[in-house]
Amino acid sequence: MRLRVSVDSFAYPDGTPAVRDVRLDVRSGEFAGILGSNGSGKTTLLKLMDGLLKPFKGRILLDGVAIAKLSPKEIYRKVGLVFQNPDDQLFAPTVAEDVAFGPLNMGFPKAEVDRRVKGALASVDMGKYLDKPLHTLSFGQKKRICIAGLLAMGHEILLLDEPTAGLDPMGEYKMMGLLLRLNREQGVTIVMATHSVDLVPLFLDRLYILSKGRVVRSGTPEEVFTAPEEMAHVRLRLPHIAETIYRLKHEDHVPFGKIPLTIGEARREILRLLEATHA
Amino acid sequence: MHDTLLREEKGRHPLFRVDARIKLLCAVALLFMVLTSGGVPFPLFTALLCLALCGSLRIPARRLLIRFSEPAFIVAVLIVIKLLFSGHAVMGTVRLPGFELSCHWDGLMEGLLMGLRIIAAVSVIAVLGFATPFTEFLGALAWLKVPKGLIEISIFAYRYIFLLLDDAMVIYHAQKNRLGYSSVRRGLASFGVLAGALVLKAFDGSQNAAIAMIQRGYEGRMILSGQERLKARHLAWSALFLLLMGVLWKR
Repeated sequence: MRLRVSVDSFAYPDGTPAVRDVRLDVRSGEFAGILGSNGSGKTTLLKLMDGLLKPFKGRILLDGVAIAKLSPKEIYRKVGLVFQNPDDQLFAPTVAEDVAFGPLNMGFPKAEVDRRVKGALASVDMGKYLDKPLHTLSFGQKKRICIAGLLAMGHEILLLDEPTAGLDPMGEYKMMGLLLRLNREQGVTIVMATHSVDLVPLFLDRLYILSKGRVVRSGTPEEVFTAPEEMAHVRLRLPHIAETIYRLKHEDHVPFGKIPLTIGEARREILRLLEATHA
Repeated sequence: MHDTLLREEKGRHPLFRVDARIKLLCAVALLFMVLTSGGVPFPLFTALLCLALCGSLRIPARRLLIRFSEPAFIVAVLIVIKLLFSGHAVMGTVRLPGFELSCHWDGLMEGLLMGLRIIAAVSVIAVLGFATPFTEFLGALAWLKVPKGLIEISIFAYRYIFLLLDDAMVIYHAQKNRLGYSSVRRGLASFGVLAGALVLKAFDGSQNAAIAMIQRGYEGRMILSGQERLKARHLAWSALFLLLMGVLWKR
């Protein structure tokens, strides 16, 4: 399932412009990220892609069909948005009932609903929380239940608004690992809005940098994260490890090759340099 | 409700394995018998039976005391009123400056009977509440054809009451940190602001919940999970139980 976004402009009813000249092409099975500072228009763009905000100038195509021509039901069977705050999204008393909400509305028989609920919860490692009341779950667990609620409906595209916001460092890694697994093993196309620059290079295939409602850069993490000055211009920064190596290279003239974006890459590059020095 | 407790006891106590619909029907029948019984023994027996069941469910005494504190207070007031202002057989008189109060034997008995009915009825509801997860209880209500709107509201209330409580505590602590409750007057003003903020938060939450529901196929009607068929064994045991209680009630 391919999602092509071509939004010329969108403004909120009070006249505040939110998104301008945005072009995105999310291919089937891709793990893409929209990176931007606070107020850059990430959430608005995700809501546009989910058909929640309209009208706008431009076109959003879902497998070649303009979403303006699709009914909400047709859109929501294929695309699902996970909100930043899970408490906004979970409304049933227990985990099982919340995850079952979508499949029940889709008209599946009870046995199929049960199968989907258990499968979706297993996918997000929450299988043993089936009967738990939602208010007893942690923030991270609630986020997983939000994802399970959409997976149970068989969504092919998941849009996630800051999925790692509010999580501790280990929780961030686990969440990103879960999303990567869903993407690689179950083929779910994922588009996530984030400003966690340190995590992005480890997981995402493609990045779109959003600033003041416009996509200012796009490409693979290696193509996007090039110089700290350019990132600072859009109120972002390079990953810490990349910035350190960048400074060592340009200010201390250490002969690094390309700027590594992850600790693993940096480690390999440092070892290479050490070996070259010893040799 | 009593979720932690429910999870710990679930599967261990036979009452948990009984279908919520049967428990609800039994509770309604028992309430009817308690409220229409003529003498003290039946409500007394029912109250003791239910308290014993609460004990076997391992409900902590503190929780039971909290649950029964309000009805116990009402019963105490009722007995005093009945003792002093109802009946004819005077059992004693208290003389106070300017007036005298007569205590009546038949008024006391009447108050005790009414009080026992209240305690027995609350005990029945307590056992039902402690032994039935809230969602199963709602399912049973739906099965009894309680209007769906009411059940949907209960589902939302159950979910959002905890969220709003969390929000209220956050706002309360923020206000307290900035001396919002340093005097009665300020406290009242702060409480008003808290209530207003909660209404706004509830409104925002409802907007987001509506979007979340619509994107998962909600079209104005909440579909509840289907009910399993009632088990003949459960039906037989409940019929036998109600029959025995009915015999006691008739006597």
